[in-house]
Amino acid sequence: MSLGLFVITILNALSSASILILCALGLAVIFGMMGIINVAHGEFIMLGAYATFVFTHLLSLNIWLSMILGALAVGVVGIAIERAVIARLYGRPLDTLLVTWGLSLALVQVVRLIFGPQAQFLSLPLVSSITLAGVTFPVYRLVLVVLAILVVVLLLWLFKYTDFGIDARAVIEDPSTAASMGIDTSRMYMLTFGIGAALAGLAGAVLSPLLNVDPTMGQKLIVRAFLVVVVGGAEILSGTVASGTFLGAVDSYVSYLTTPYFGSVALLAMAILLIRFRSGGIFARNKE
Amino acid sequence: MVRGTRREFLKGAGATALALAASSRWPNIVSGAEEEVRVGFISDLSGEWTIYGIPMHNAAKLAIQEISAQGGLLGRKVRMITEDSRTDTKVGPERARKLIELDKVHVLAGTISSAMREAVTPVATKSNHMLYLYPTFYEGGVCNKLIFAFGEVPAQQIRPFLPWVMQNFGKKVYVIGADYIWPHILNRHVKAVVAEGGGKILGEEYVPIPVSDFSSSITRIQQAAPDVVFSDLAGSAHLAFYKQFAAAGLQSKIKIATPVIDETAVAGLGQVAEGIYSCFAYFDELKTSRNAAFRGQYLKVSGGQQSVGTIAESMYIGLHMWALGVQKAQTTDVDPVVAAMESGLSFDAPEGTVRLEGSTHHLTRTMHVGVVKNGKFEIVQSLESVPSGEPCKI
Amino acid sequence: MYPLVMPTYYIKMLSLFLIMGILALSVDLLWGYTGLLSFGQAAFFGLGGYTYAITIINLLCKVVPESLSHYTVTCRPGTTYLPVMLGVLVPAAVALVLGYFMFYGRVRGIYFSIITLCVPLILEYVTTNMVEVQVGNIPIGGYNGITDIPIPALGLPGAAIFPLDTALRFYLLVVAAALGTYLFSRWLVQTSFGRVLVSIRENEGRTESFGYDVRRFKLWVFTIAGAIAGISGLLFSTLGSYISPWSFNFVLSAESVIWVMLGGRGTLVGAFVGALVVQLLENILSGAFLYYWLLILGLGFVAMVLVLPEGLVGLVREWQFKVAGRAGEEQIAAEKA
Repeated sequence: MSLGLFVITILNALSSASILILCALGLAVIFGMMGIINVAHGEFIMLGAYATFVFTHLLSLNIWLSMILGALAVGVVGIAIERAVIARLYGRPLDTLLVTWGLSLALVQVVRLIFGPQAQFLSLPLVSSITLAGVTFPVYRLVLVVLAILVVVLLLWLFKYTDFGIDARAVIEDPSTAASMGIDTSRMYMLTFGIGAALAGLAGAVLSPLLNVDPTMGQKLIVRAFLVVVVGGAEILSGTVASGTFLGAVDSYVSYLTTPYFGSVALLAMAILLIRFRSGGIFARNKE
Repeated sequence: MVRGTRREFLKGAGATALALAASSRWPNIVSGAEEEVRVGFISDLSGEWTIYGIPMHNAAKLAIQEISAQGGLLGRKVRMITEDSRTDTKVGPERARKLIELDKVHVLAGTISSAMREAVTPVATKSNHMLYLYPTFYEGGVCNKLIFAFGEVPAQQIRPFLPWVMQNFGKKVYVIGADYIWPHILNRHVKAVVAEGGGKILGEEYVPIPVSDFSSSITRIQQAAPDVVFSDLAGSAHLAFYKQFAAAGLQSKIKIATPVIDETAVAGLGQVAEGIYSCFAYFDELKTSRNAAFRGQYLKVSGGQQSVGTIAESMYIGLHMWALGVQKAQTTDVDPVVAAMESGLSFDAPEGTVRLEGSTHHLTRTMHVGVVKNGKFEIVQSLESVPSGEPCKI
Repeated sequence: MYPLVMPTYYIKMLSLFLIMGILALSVDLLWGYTGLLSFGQAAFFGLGGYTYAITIINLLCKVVPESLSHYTVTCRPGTTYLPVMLGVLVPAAVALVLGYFMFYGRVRGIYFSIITLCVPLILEYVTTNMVEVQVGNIPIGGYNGITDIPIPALGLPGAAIFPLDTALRFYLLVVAAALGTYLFSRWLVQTSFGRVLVSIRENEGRTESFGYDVRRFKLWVFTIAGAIAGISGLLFSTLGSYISPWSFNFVLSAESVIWVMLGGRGTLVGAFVGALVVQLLENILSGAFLYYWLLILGLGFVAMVLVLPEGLVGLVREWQFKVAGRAGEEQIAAEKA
């Protein structure tokens, strides 16, 4: 294999990884950090894509702006859902599962009723590509890799070094102590959930030019998102990045060397093996 | 132990009562309606395949409307009863059974995927003796006295199409398909035809249906450097392939030929669909006199949805041909109608004249090759009277 | 039994609902009693169905390929004890191996759930891909699955064969299976084995400190649940004479969890109630509100959780409590005297 081709395979792997990570980050916050089993996560991603579509096509805004607005819009929707439903169910994780399942059904149907079941088209914001060893690689995919890195860094900074982030983690870790220290726990939950939703919306927004945008698009993305978060283990953010990168690379390389069928099976098998042999995921706290 | 049994008994009795009292719908038999002709329509109106189910439903409604407007069938009123199979193969057969056994329909029409057809077939043709009209293009091979298939089959979609493609674009073909049965079978025809034409298959890969990231496949395609990519990818996630193919700058370099991209898919692909070649018996843009009228009527029934597509048109043909069979047999009983439908019927369809092959239960029709230009299909080649080529003689 | 004069349609519908109830029972046994939330009972469901189909077609039928994608299956009558047994044993064996892999590797909680999620997914991909792979005389058939599966038959091999070929007879078999698995489960949870399971659910660490090898208990209940799901699967494949990779689908696993949740977790009966009520509700809604029913169902779930935290069976229990309350009080008063 020539060097150029090898670099292309690395770029493919990074691209696969970044897509997995972007799709998983919102769930990492909502499920990994807050412990809420959000089955509607895929629908948050879908809403981000549709919101972007609405902003670009119906309001004729610039696509980059639409993507940002799309993510924010889903964040707002997330906050609304948190206030209306999730807030009543803290401490009842299985009921949240059922509720988010119901929400997921409802959201798919609402979008289908408004926009129809067919796909919507969003054009690629960047059409250039780089060529190595006779193979082209879209620059936009590189942009997504960079974006994934930026978002992760931003999140790490937010949750480790800002007052807000520290307060949020305190509330999640030990709500009663945090409350007794004067932190508004309810507000923290709301905002953290909103951030998680916005992250999912962002994934949908930036992936909308590359993936098919239809009401059911979220349903195919959610299983992998859960896999990535869970395999990542106890260190939520760095774990998600590590597992996303590893699983994405496995899928990409196996798909390339054989076929996408084996790539998908390899990803699943690898996830199982990682869970089993690094019991607790990739970054396991040495508690058990 | 006793309490358990009693609970079990109560549960069972309760279930029975519930089932009787609140079943999915009261059987659709109105008083004095022995005279009424009932058409049972079943399709995926929710779930993955809604995108095909809804046009199929609209076309069925239109066909029934037209039949009713002509005074019904044999002087009797015609009524369609619709059920949703929800893209769920445990639901489809159950709903089909409801239509056949409770609603006592005289014909069963619809279903999309081969899996659903296979699931419904035992209910329709083994447990019951019901005529089944299947409208979707598929891999061929159905050989059942009671089933008539109105969709395009491989001999029609591949055999006229691939030689034209190779003649116009080149003989190096890369095949990529969805990992399920229709592409697997279809591609066998593809490989045979390519070999016969002196072409070469540079690669053949199958992608599981939920996969939406095609970067490794696209890299492989570029390395192989084919003249044309033959794609029978399927399902909504796979439409991402065309977007990613275009993102890699390949849209203008390598041609794409597919037996699956129709008007519904084109709408969702925007400019990425430009230059894709498809082969169907029906395209919205066909310029026959019948088609203009048909599209006008369809627009009214569909509530403003313009695009029709070949699946809808095939359903339209199927119901009309069944009506012709009923009229010829002068009864709605299944066996005489089957015999009538096997007697060599033809119908002036929106796509042109189609003939129902008595021995194979499939259609002989005109096949068209279309290319997407400005969001619509432009017909570049037509082949008349293409028989189904189905080997099974019923 | 009751459906002696019901039309075939209702009998078959009830059969389907009960079969799904058996699947849900396997989920409740694992989750309601042992605290193991399995999102993959569909794996054993599908394995049971496929094993039964492959075994019985190999035993009793001739497969003649007709064209590239079709073959005819002609079967002679015969008893079906072996296919049924294998249809239960193979899923159980797979559950045993998978369970060993997981529990003896200390996989628990969410990690257990995720692995159980992945397994049927892999099976779905694999069976979909195996279009022409043959097991014996029958091809797996890829996404189209295996069709023309003969129904079970009792009797003495070679002597008197009693096929369960009417809807009513088949329904009776399903009821027997449902009753059998239910009563077995109910017995199981009342034994000391069952009490240890509950103890594991409540506090695994403490159970271990009492000297119980929790891995062994989890392994056993997982195997049994796999067998029960296998029974459900083999009955399903005969109900419609059809099995396909769809039977491994994630949605089926998720639905089974939902049924248990709505019916009432940890009650065993709740599994059947949930399965019956939800499927019935879906039928009614999709019939009445052709394009809107998913929306109503989804919102219905949301409302249900907010209003009925204990599930349907909990609601019934509460009502039973109130009704029995007064009688209970009197009895207590009488006993005191």
